[in-house]
Amino acid sequence: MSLSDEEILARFKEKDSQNYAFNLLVRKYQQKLYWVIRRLVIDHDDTNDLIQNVWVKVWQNLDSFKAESQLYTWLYRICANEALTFLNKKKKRFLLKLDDVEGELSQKVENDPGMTGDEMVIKLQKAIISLPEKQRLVFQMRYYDEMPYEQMSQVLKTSVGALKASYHHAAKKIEVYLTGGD
Amino acid sequence: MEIQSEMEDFDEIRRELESISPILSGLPRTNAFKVEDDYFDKLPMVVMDHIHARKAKSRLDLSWLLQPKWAVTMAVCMIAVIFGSFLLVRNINMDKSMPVAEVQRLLDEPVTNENVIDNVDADDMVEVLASNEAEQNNNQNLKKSADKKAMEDYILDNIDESAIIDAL
Repeated sequence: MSLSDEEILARFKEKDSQNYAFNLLVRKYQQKLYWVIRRLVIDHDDTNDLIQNVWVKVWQNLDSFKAESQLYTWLYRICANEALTFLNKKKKRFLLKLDDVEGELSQKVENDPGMTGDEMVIKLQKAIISLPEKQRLVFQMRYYDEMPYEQMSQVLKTSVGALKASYHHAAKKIEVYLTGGD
Repeated sequence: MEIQSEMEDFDEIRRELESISPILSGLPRTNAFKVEDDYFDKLPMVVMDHIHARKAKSRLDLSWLLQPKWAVTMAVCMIAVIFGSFLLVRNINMDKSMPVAEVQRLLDEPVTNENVIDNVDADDMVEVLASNEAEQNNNQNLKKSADKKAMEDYILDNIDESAIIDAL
């Protein structure tokens, strides 16, 4: 049974149907949100931990969601923040420079047993990892999630113009990486 | 309407990528990562369990104290506080008792010139010494006269008067 976001929110506000409504919400968006995080942090176990944290935050704050943006936009924003915070903490905790974090993620891409054996696909992932974190997020939002710039602007609190420029540069960098430049 | 609008968005996105990077736009958008087949079947239940566990835990929870590292830390801190308090109290008591013990010792000892002299004013000391000297001189004079008399008495007792007259 697929309900609209408004219906889910209305049922969530009622104590009797709160758990049921939340369950529906999780089933509706779990895959999209999982892949948002997975593409950023690469590792499944890390993703699993982070997605649980995301849903806990959603549960705690759903009552105060003001519908100024779409529910999916709001959820996406929580996921993106959770993943970027995780990567920043990882960087600080191990005193790694950015390049080293990239190296670790690249290594995970190569060693992940769940990765497809396609060389070009693996190379594309490594190219994406080589981008700065926020630019990587912009690229993934547009390339994989095919999100309109206006919606991206609401998620990242950045202007449409800046996002277009960022995406343009990201795509060019990846092209250079794929054609032989590292 | 909404679906048509979305389709237009997707077409626009693909045209945009073609104009930026034909190579990239030609790649299949396959998901490079895999996940267990039943992961998303189980995830909602796992999430709800997690949420309920967090709700239960959000009440005042001191169970973290039972974790070994915190328990050891607390124990060490308590020992340090107890030991420090013991040392502090001991030092305070020792400082208070010293003067009392010292006073008692002084009271028990006989008062001698040695002890008095330490607390006597310098001028007073000169006066005392002078009077002591005078007294000593007097005593010496008395001793001298006593010695002379003793000698006279010895002579008179032990020597015959006629012998003295004959000698003279």
